[in-house]
Amino acid sequence: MRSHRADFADERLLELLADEAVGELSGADCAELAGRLGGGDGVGEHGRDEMVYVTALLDLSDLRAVEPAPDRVLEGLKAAGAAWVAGRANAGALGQAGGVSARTGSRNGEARLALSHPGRARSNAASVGAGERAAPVARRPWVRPGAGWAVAAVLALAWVVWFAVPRAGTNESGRVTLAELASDPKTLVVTWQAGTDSLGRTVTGRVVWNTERQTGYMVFSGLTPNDPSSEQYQLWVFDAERDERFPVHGGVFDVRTTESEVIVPIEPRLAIGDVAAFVVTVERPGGVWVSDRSRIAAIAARGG
Amino acid sequence: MPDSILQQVAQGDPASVQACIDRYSGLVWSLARKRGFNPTECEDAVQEIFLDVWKSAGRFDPTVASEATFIAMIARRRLIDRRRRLSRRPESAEFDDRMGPVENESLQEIEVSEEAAAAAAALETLRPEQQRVLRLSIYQGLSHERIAESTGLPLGTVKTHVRRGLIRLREILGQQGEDGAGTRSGGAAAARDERGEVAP
Repeated sequence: MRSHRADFADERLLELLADEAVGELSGADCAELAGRLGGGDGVGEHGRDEMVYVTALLDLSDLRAVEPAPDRVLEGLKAAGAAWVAGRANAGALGQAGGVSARTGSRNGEARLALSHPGRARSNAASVGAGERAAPVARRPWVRPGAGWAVAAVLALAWVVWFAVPRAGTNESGRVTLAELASDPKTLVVTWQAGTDSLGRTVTGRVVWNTERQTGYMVFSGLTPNDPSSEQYQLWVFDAERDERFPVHGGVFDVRTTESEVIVPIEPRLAIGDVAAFVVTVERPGGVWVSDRSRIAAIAARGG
Repeated sequence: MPDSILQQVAQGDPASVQACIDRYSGLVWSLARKRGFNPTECEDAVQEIFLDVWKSAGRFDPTVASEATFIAMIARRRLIDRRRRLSRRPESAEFDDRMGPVENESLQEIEVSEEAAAAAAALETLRPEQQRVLRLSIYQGLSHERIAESTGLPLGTVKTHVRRGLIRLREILGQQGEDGAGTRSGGAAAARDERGEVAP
């Protein structure tokens, strides 16, 4: 790479890096490459990237023109960028407060998820039935482990810490229970009102949210069961301290019954400062980065 | 010299994140589209690539590669990962009506960087079979197996051409870097050398 060419004594290593650069590394070769790189071949970081450097240059040379990214992509990038910056700042503040690094490892999956496209977080969707509390389920990391990018875990450090620290009144999964939360005098309770979409026509219930604990629950009655293969509910938390255009994604969930109350935990992807409203929209399976807000099932507005 | 956008990102400058999007979103989007992913996959890929770029910004070294090249390297790795995850080849990507032809007026001509031009020039110095296989592999994103099918070459030969071709390109570009001649003219000179001709 420019004047930084590594000295490869191992021709086989170069072959493996060439295969990697064109996406043709088999599982066995991948293990061999990892072993050789981990074995101190001495090629260094730049040497590791040299073949990708060559292929990337050819990629660039083959681009005759650049097509502007669509507006929806730019909007998503802007939101992701703002979230990344905020997460980085939060991580720095929490890191200075201490106790962060020791707790991040076990929640690495969540750190990744916090940055993931909602559409890639299907496993995060909580399908809940009568009176059930939908516990967070195992989450599929957005990127493969060891891919060289551990996905800006800093964004989620604040979130990681919240969940990693055992607190009084929690259930076996570590979450504070609805009853415990409701008994906290600092907890906010807001009632649901029907939105514009027919799925929420008969919705009633409440949102129970505690800013200090950064956790809460949605309690629904009468929210129409959805077909997860075609649409899912997505929660957005509007924070008075943030730009109204970029509400915080609070989780994707399904409803399977109207016979009794449905309880869904709230899992905002960023710290919420001053809740203005909770809004449930109907989105494509997996959720969206930016909602067009065309299908609003329910609204719980503070003071509304 | 003022810091580059990526260096500013690494320093935590919020405005530089938006500047990074403004400058490179089209490039990353175009690279993703070139790989033949459907629109949803392209959108996801662009997000994924930018998050990786921001996270990796601290590793950017302007003496090693340009910003565009650094980003293209990350893009290549992420797009390969995505293709592997999807277990499908770009040539089989489904058509989506949101992914129609782009109006010419919306395209922005780009100036190919000197280093990219040098790489393209170096490619032209390789033996014809190596060039052909590398073009199919890198420009069209075909798998070794698919290249073997379309060219009639044995799979092992395809693999060897790709490996030896890339290794040779690395040598040529590395030599140019050491000579301080990583330019179009440098690439052309290397091209003549590789063909066994006498450089003027």
